[in-house]
Amino acid sequence: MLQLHWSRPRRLASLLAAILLLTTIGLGGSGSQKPLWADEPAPAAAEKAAPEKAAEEKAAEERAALSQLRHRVDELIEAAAIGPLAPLCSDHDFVRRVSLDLTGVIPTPARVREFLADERVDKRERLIDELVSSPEFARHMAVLLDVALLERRTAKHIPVPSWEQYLFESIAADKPLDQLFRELIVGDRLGAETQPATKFLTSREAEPHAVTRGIGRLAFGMDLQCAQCHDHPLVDDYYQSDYHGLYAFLHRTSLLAAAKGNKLSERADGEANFTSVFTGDGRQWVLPQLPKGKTLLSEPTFAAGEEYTTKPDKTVAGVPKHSRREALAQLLGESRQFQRNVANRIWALVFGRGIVDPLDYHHTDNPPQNPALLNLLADQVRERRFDLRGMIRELVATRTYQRACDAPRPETVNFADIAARAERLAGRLEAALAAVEPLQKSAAAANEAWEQALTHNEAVAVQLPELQKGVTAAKEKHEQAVAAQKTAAETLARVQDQAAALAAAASQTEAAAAKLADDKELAAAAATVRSKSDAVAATVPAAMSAVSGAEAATAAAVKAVAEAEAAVAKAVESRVPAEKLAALEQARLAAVAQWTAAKHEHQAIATQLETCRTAAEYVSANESDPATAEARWQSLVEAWTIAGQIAPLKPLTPEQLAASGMRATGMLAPQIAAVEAKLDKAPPEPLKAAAEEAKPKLKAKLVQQELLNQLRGTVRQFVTHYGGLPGEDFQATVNQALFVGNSTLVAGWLNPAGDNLAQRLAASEDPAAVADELYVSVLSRHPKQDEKQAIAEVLADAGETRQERLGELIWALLSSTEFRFNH
Amino acid sequence: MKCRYACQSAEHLTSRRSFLSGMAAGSAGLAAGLGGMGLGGMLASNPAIASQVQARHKKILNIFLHGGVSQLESWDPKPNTDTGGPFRAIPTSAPGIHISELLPHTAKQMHHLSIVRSLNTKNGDHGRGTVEMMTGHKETPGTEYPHLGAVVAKSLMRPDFALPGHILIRGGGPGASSAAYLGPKYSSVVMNGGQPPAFTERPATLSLESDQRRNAFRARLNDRFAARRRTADTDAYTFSYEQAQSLLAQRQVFEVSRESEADQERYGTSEFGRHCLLARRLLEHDVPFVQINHSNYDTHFENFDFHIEQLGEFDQPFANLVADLADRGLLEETLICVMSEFGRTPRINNRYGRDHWGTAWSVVLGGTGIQPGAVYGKTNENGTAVEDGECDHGHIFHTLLQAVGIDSTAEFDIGGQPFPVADPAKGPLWDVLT
Repeated sequence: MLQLHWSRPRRLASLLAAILLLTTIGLGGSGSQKPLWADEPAPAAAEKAAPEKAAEEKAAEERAALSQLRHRVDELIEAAAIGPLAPLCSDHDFVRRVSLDLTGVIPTPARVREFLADERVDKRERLIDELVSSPEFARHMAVLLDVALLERRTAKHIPVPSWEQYLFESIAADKPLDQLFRELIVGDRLGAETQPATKFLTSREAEPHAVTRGIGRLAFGMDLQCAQCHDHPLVDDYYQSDYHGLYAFLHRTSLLAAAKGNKLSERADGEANFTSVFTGDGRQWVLPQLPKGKTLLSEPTFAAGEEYTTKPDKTVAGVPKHSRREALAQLLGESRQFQRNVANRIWALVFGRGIVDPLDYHHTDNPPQNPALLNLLADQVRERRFDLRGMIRELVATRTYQRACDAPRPETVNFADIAARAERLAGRLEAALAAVEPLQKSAAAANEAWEQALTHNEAVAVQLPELQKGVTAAKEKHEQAVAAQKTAAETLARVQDQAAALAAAASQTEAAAAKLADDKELAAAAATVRSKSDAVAATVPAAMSAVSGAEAATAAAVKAVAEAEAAVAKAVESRVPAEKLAALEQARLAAVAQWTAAKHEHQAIATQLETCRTAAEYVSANESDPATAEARWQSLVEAWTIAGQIAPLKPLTPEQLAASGMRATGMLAPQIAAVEAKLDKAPPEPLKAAAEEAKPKLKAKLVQQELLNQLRGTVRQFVTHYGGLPGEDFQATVNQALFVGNSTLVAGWLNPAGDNLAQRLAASEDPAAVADELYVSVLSRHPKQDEKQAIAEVLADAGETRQERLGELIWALLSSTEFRFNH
Repeated sequence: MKCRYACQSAEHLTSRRSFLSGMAAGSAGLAAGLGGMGLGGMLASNPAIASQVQARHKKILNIFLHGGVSQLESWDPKPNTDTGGPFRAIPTSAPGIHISELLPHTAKQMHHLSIVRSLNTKNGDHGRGTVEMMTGHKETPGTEYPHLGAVVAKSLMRPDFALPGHILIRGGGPGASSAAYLGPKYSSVVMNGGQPPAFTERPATLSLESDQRRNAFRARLNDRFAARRRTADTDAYTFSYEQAQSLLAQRQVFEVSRESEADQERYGTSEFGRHCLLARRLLEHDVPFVQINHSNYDTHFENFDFHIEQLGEFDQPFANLVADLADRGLLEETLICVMSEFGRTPRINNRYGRDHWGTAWSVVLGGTGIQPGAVYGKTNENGTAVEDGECDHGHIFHTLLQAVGIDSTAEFDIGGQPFPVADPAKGPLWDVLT
């Protein structure tokens, strides 16, 4: 059933030709004195007094020693890199980037200035530590989780604020992600505080297919929807049985209509089965099974009527003693596929793209960009007990994260070096391919053995109720036979008794009649008695044979019972025992994992070679065919970005855009102040009850929670225009541009009010100060000299339209590419 | 290997190609004024797009009669039967086709149109029916499918097209319709009561000069950033603002009052009449998908009086629109569809009403790709069941797309994942198509 494939060697001949070309051209020798990068030089550490610097460096080293993950990530990325590695980004790019990624909003102008002016060598680490432990981090992660989990579905059932608060608190309290997922799957059965978690299922109406798809994608990174009705048409290793294995955990659950969609009910019975709409093949009984993972081989059983803690009813949510949903939740954390998916999603959250891309398409033919990196991260996710905050902190501390987004200049790229790499890689490609085939065979064999055992047991499971019915029927027949035998014996005894009595009576009456020979009456009576006696005696043999018949029937029934019981025993016996199944499954999972790993290794080398070939094609087209050269160059830059050698441009999410637009224009600060004032005026109970020294921290947390509610209206307008569904392609639409250009919302941000940006600019006479305030506020950087000059020219020219001109400048910066993307 | 993650969709190929060729044109210096490149500049540097602008493009006009129009009082009359109601059937310009006497003007245009009389959508719920007819899929909890207009806009919209690709002229009925996974670019732009879409007018406080100045400054900033890094995304973003400027310059497209007085008189003062004239205007400006919602046909009471009224409002403007599109040659590139969420019961209830009915009802198609003057499928004598050619929302959805040259059996590539264009379990009604 498992169809195993591996990709054919990629047109090796043309590749080798390209490599030869590269080596003969030998572009860009390693001794080149040209600057390696176009713009944005890495920040030079400021000159400092030696002892102070030494102390700081020592502290930095100690921190580094505490955590090796960041270095291992960088090593793996850099070892696999083909071609240039971008230098570290500038401080202003960094402060903006890390603020957007960790808090969902650009930094305040004050924070930008403070950071740029800071001369400590470890200031980036300090900023990361500050941001990652801030309540803003919890707010931003809660928003990302909300969008990922609910996919912007219309709000119904559980109220949005309590759901958001649940996510916020989960992040703030460092709830491990596997626990979070358990709560999302099990919901309110874990306690009142996890009631909002039910929203994950209720927002999908707890409809088992919708839930199966959701969990397949979000927990396992596998979109199995196409495998619902048939094996996936495009993905070789998504089977209909994978879908239904997961579905078997979930299809007993439904929404309790009487609770207005806020409660989940679960049955204790019902098995999954399927038929392919294409082939008509199917399975009658699918055991619950994690995608590419463990099967629930044995489940507790209960006597009829004893299956429930709470029996389901129209108005009562059913709680079975053995819950399949809880079983899924329990198995989750140990699932390798879950760990890989969590690792991949955390990576995507920081880098804008998964190591496996798309996020929902983990399978053998879609290799991770860097297999070793994904393995490392999956191990770390497990070892660090699914610690989201810790993982993110490590990832943003990598050199990889902190690289510049600028495209390199072609003349700075060492193409000769790439050509040399290509030759070495071509050798490794052969070996990697050779390693795949035997592993594929053993995976197929292990899979076959497992499938056979499993389908046999499933067939037995389907047969067993029928066989057990046979035993019951045989036993009933036996009881009937025993009863019939008893009746026959009783009949015989009665008849024999009657016959004996009548025979005696006949003899006596005949003797009396002989003595009274003339008594005709007596003679007649004697004859009557005799005839009765004879008649009764004649029935005795029939009664006797009825008894022996009944005895034979009982014996046959006893045999039938024994046979039926033997059939059940035989079927039960024939089942592959649970331990054996578990061993077969383990062998299968291990073999498939090994084969997949080998295959991914091969594909990863092929991808690296592809980059080499693109480089060679660029070199050969460079002189003769500028259009092709340009296209190849763009492909190279894209490949380097995906490989982590250049920082990506990440479009801001609707939430980031709304909050950043407000912060840039100085409209966020009054919102925060309003929330603070509200909390001061009417502090909620926990704040009142808190110890004095704990109050500021708690208040800061409450402010961020309340800010979610405060910004909801504005965010909704941005979501309407910018979409922001997970996995969606980037789209720049006319509507978005019209919204930014002509909406009263954005126009309102440009009018002077309070201490907002327009007001601050209006209040400043000095064009250089205006330029600086404008650029730092909106773009989180100081303006360059020519930019200052341009602002000065605009203002000199403005006259009475100064206010209008300032609005134009703010708007222009807000709508610029530099603002739209995280760079 | 079955993987198809390389972007194969037409749109991806086009945008990627135009991006790369734009790069090639400016390859001497990446920063050379690219951010400020206007539509003209884009066209000049891209002959592929320029030739597309010359060519006329296929489009769809969908008229949705909300509440569920009665097939018996419109496209499938059954006079003189127990279910037929009081109205006669009249001959039409298409030989052999009769429709209800409530549509005398439409009857004269039937040679342009075809009727599918054999829908069995097995559903009598307004919400579900609307979703099914508009997405071509059965409603599935937890899954949202894109609206017909989004699918059409995604498939037919040219990269340089500044006007919205999916316009809903709303006179009652549901509001904006979703593009689901196709993204916000293809969601409906709503013209409520025929009013221009939101944000298509500069705020009173913003002069044209001021807007031009700020856009010029924006372009300078973008050029500077492009020198650091330029991608297909940054180009698309920059271009969206150019398109917005171009749309504002064409704003009169949304103003039906600019049509001639004679035409305004001909289409009448009813809301539906004005909406039909507006639709004609939009189609003339090549908008790929226009939908008019006409409400409300949910006639549980007094079905016959209501249909006299509603179809009385519908008939003349609709007939005008069909005739005008034909006269102007636009029917060769425009597909017309008249649909509802379902039909109405043959049984007349005790309040002279008809109730919800998805078992045997009709949809009208006409124009490009459609056999003119034909009838597909058949209901029985008194309209209580489909006798021939049974089909449903899925088949209609496929048929509409095929008629305008969209391969409805293909897949969209969204973020590297394949999504079927239409329900793969269904297919088009080939007999309806030319």
